[in-house]
Amino acid sequence: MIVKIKSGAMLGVEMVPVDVEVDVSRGLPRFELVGFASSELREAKERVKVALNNSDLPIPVSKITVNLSPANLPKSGTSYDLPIAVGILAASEFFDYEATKDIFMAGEVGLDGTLKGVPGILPMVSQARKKGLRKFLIPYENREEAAFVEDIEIIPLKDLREVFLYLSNPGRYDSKYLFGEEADSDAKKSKDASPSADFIDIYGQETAKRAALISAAGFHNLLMVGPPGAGKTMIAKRISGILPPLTREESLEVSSIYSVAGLLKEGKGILTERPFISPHHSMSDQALIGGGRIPKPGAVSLSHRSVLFLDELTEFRRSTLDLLRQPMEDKCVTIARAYGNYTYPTNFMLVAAMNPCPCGYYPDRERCHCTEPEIARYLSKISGPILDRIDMTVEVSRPEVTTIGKVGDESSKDLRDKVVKAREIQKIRYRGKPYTMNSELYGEDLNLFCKLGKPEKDLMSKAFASLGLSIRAYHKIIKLARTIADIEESEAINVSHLEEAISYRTINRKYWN
Amino acid sequence: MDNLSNELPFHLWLSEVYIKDESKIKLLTYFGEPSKLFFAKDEELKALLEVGFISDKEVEKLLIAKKQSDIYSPYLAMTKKGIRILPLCSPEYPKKLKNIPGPPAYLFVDGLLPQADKKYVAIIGTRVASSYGRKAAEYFGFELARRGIGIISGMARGIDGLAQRAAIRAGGQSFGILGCGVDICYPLQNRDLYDSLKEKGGLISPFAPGTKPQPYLFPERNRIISGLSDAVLVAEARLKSGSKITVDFALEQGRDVFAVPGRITDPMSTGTNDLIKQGASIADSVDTVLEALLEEDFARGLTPAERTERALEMLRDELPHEQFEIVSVLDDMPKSLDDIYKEARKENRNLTVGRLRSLLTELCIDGYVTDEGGGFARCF
Repeated sequence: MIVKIKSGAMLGVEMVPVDVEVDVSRGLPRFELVGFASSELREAKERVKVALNNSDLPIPVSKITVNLSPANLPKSGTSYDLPIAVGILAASEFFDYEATKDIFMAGEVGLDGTLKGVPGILPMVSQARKKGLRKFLIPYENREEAAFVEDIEIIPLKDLREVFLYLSNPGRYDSKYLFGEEADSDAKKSKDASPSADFIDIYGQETAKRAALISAAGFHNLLMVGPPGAGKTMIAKRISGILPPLTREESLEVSSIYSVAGLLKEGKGILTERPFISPHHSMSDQALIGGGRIPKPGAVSLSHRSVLFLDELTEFRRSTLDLLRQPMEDKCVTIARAYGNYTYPTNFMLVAAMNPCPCGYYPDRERCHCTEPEIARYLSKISGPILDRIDMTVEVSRPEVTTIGKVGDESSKDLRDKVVKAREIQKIRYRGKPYTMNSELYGEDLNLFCKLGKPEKDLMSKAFASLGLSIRAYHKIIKLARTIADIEESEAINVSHLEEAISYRTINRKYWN
Repeated sequence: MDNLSNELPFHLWLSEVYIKDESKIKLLTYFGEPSKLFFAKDEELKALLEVGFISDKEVEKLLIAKKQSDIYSPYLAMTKKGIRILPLCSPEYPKKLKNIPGPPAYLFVDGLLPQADKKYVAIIGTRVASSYGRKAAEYFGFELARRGIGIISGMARGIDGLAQRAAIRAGGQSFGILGCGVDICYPLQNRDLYDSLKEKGGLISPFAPGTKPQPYLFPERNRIISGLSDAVLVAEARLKSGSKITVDFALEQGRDVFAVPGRITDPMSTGTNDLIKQGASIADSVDTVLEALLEEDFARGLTPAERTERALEMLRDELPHEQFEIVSVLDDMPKSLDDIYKEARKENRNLTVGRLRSLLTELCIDGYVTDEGGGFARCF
């Protein structure tokens, strides 16, 4: 008899439905697995055989053929173990095939028959739901991420015996795990947790804090330049905490990427806090952009909708940094492989920190003896195209010793309230547009939403003449001024907003002229 | 004269022989003309060695150099570039330099030469200038050039280049003394200055065209900087500085030495302050320098300190109160935004960082303030 079990393959964050077709027929006993399977997937044969035996569900002595359809799509991973095992049981009529109808299955099996969690369950479930499926048979470990998808029935089970019992008693088998209440409460709990690093820890550094507020409010890229110990990293770590809380859709997007990467921790469920990704400067190109034989999301995707913090920006290889250009522009990265393109979203906010010179203390000539060519060589590690994509640059100076132990005036919560308010204004303004934030404005819409009056236009032309700004800086300045105006809750962009925005661009000229 | 121009290819040949200038001059006085040295028999040179006139290494070098078959084409190549060679015996050779102990045997020139009836001041200093040093270099370069004093310097980064650019801006004359061949622009960033010096002043070097810049060549260049000038002014220098070498040469050659005083807390000014301690004159305004240089009387102007005061008084009326408050917090040295914010808040409790940034941008656009690496400084 032949049966078909519904499962799915992940192509990036996209799920492609896969039918696991199992045929058990008379003939010489053997077990064939076809359908463009990778080596770890081909090993499923052995795992499933032994697991079934150990669960007192012996495999029939007959010819078993498993086909993963569509057979031309390359498949990998261990999530087909469960559908294969269920398919064999159904095809050898251990229970009624009807019981498996319209149930989506995915999961790995251990030799003893236990079900183990697999990566990518959240995007699989949410996209299978969109395709009309409602029942999901998944490992118990994955129950929390799947519980995030609404209006579905989750059957989280712990081993093959349970699977057998569930399927052979349709509608009657009761498991204490069947109901997702536990999972729900977990997800809710983590939502209330406040960010661990708070801006209240930072005394002084008012200019850097202001810059952090503006960059968070408009999702602008930020570069901090300053000597060692100025607090650049401390500030950067706190920026993801003042971004507005993740909305449901955003949380699904971000968690899907984490799920595919196998980074959703058991017991935590989906992500409710914006992640803070801070890769080391020795990272490989693949780790940044994503890659591998089966491409996994890289740091640019793991920081989707959040902060990608590159500390010691100048220590990164220039070629690695230049890879950021396309993801920053397109907000997604496509990795091409012979059998398909993997696309991961990369709408992150770049926060970078660097020293102004090799020793770190320029322009404090008391400590810095770097020569000009040395400094120029150091700064030239950051290419012009990357600098162009950074909306704001601020200098962070070293705080005085007396400030140690003192706390600042504004907490992350106060700042987050301001950010949320500014974001609300943006959301209302860009209603019906494909974007929601000032930094995403472009082309015609820029002129539409950022109208400049006569004095503002005069200021811009004066600034261009006397400060030597580039034409490319023009749009960045206007977008930034829009955000500043939104923070001040001003409908129009006025001269002082523009002036402040300009001041975040002039420093580039000082260092990279 | 005609004879001299016939001899110039041989002078170029001799200039490129790697022996001491002293020996070259000695040989020239003995032979009269370099061509005679070139065509002299090997025995004659060996005889000179016998009597101890030159050393055996020098004879060796000369004998190898004498094998050079083509004397004219290097000379033609040089003149094609517009470069002249001045042997010590040339009437054009600057008198001032001729009189120093051990003058260079040859000078290579592209452009003009310092005039005998004009006064020249060398402005020298650190290659990594602070904004105060920059201001000082530009002030003295501009004001001295405006009063007809030529500016001599090494065309280096920092003080040298700033003073020379300011002199040219003032419509004055400036000479760049190079530590490489005059056909090489070093440092490359000063290409603009190199070109304008060629046009409105001159480039002078004791080294033959094509000589690459080498650290050990620079002291010799410094000796010529002070040798060509009537006074040496150090605009800004650390305690350990190349300017020290120039100052030592200047003292040896009997030139006046001026130093621009700095704050005692500033590491960038330790060198100049030390010079003052050792007896250098204080360069607190152009008038002080001019007084020492010129015999006749001249019109005096405001000192830099008075200028700043005047400018501040004018700004008090000119600028809105909010802006003036910021300007009065600023200094010649750049102050970080956080420091400015802290000080300005003492006067105006309602000031926000955003407002301060916007005020500073306005002041920058209007040219009252510059945005330096590390902070903001006033620019008047």
